Amino acid sequence: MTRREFLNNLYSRLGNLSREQAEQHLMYYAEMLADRMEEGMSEEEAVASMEPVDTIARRILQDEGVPPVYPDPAPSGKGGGEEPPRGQPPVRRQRNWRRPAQIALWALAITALAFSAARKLWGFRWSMGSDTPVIEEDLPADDPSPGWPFAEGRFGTLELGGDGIDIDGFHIGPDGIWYSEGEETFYMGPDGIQYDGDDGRFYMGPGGIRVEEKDLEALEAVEVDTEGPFYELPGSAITAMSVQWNGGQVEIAAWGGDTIQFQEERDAFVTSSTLSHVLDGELLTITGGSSDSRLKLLVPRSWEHVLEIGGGAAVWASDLKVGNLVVNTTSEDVICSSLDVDYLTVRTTSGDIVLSDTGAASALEAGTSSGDVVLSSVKGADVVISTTSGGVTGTGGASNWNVSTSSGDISLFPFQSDNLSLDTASGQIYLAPARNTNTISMTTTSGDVELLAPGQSFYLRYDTSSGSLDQGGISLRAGSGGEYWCGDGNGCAVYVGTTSGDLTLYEA
Amino acid sequence: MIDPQLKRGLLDVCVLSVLRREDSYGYQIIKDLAGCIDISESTLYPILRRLETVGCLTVYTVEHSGRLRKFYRITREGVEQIDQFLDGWPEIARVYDFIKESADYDAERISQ
Repeated sequence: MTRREFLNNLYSRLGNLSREQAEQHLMYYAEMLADRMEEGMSEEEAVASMEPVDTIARRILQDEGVPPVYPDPAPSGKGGGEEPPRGQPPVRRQRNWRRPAQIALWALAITALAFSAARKLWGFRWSMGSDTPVIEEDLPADDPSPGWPFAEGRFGTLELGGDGIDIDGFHIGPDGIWYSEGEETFYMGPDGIQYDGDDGRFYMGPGGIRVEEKDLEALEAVEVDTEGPFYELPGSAITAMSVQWNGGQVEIAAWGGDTIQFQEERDAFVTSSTLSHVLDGELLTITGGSSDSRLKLLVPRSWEHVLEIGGGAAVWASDLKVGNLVVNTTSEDVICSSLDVDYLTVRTTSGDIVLSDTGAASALEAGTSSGDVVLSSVKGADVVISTTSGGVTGTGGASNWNVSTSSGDISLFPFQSDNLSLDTASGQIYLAPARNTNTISMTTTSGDVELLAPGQSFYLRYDTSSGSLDQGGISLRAGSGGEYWCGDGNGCAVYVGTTSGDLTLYEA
Repeated sequence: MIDPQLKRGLLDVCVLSVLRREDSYGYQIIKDLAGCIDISESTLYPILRRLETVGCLTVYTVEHSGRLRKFYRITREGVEQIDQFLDGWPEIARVYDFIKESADYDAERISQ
C-alpha cells in the first residue's frame, strides 16, 4: 500500500469528523510516515510499520467522541493492507450472529414501545387490531400524566431527556439506538447496524457487511475507558460549588495545585459527555451523570468553601479540605476518607455511609434511611448520626454524640466523648464509652443495652417497665426508683431508659 | 507486562519526561520511549493533544527538509506534573511492598 492509499483509507474512515478535524489527524500521520521514510524505509515499509488503519481510525474517533463508520466492506489486514486470501471467507462463530439478532429484536421492541409511549404523550392513541377508529379527542391534550403502562414495572429505569430515551443499558435518540453492557456495544441508526463484542465486530449498512474477529493481542491494546472533555478553572474565582450527578459515581480528591479540575469518564461505546457546567459569579455548578459515568473532581487543598453534591450518584471523597461539605444522594453510598472540613453533612436514602479518618471541626451530621453508617476515627465538636433501619458502628472523638436509629443496632466505642445520647426503638445498643465521659443517655423500646462501665465510680439510673439489670459482677449500691451508685457515684452520670430492653454492665 | 490501566496513568508523565530533556516531535518521542514503555502513534497523539489542552506543553512548527514538522515543548505546569508524580512514588512503592509481601502467603493456603 502506498502512502497516499494509507492516508486515503484513513480519511474515508473519519467520515463523521469535520474536514478540519480529519485533516489535523491526517497531518500527524503523514508526518509519522515522512519521518520513517527519512530514516531509510521505503514507502511500503513505512506504511507496513504503522498500526492498522481501522485501529487508528477507531482511536481517533474515540478521542473525538464520535461513532465509527465502515465505508467499504473490504476487510483490511495489517497496515500494509494485504488482501485476504481469496476463496477463504472469514470464520464466523455462531455467537456473533445470534447476539446481534437478539439485540436487534430488543431494539425494535424498545423502539415500538418508545414510539407508542411517545404517541401517547402527544395525545394520540395507539390502537392495534381494534375496529374503532383512532379518535384524537379521547385523551385530554393536557393530561399531565398520560401513564406509562408498559414502562412501569417492566424496566428498571426509564428516563426521558432532551436527546432521547434511556432505558437501562439502552439509549434511543434521534441519531440512533445504542446499547452497551460490559465489553459489548451495539449501535443501530442511519450509519447502519454495528456490534462490537469480546470476540469480534459486525457491521451491516450502506457500506456492505463486514465481520471481523479480534485477536486477543489487539484486544488488550483497545482502550475501553473514554474520557470526556477536561475542564480546569482557577480555584480563586470560585467560592461555592454545587454538583448534581445523576447516576454513576462522583470521585473527589484534593491536590496541591490551585485550580479546580473536573472530567467525566465513561465506559460507553459512544462517548457524548453528559457533563455540563456553569460559572455564575463565583458559584460553579456541575451537572450530568449516567449509570456508567464517573465524575472526577479535583479540588485544591487550599480551597475552603462550600461543596455540595446531590443527585443519584455514589460519592467517594477523599483527602479533602473544604469549608463545608454537603452530600445529598439517594440510593448510592457515600464514602469519605481523610476529610478535614468545618461542617460535614451527609445524607443518603438507601446508601451506606462510610466515614473514615474524617474530621469536621464544627459539626458532623450523617443520616441514612436504610443504609448503615460506619465510622472510623471521625471527629467533630458535635456528631449527629441517624439511620432508620440501618445500623451505626464505629469509633471517633467528639464532645457531643447524638446517635439515633429505629431498628438498627448501635455499636459505639468512641475514644473521646463528653456527652453521649444514643436512642433506638428496637435495635440493640453496645457502648464502650471514653474515659471521662460526663453524661450518657441511652433509650430503647425493646432493644437491649450493653454498657462497659464508665470508670470505677459512676451514677446509674435505670428506668424500665419489664427489663432486667445484669450487674456483671460490678458492685452497686441500689437506691429507690432505679437508682444505683458505683463507688462514690461521682464521675459519669448514666441514664438508661427502656420499655422491655435489658441492661447488662461489664467491668471496665 | 504492565496492566493497561496502570500504563495509561504513566504515559502522560513519560511523554512529559521526554520533553523535559529537550523539545521533540512525534516520531522521536516514540523512539525515545521505546526503551522504557511501549507507545503507538495512535496512543501518543491524544496524549499530546490533552497535555496541550491542560497547558503542560506548547506546540510550534519548524520547517524541515521542505516539509513542516510539529515540535512540542514542556511548560512549567508540565514540569510540576512530573514532580507531583515523583512525590507520589513512595506511596506507590509502599503499595508494591505490601503486594509483594502478600505474595509469600500463596504457597500453603491456595494449594489446598
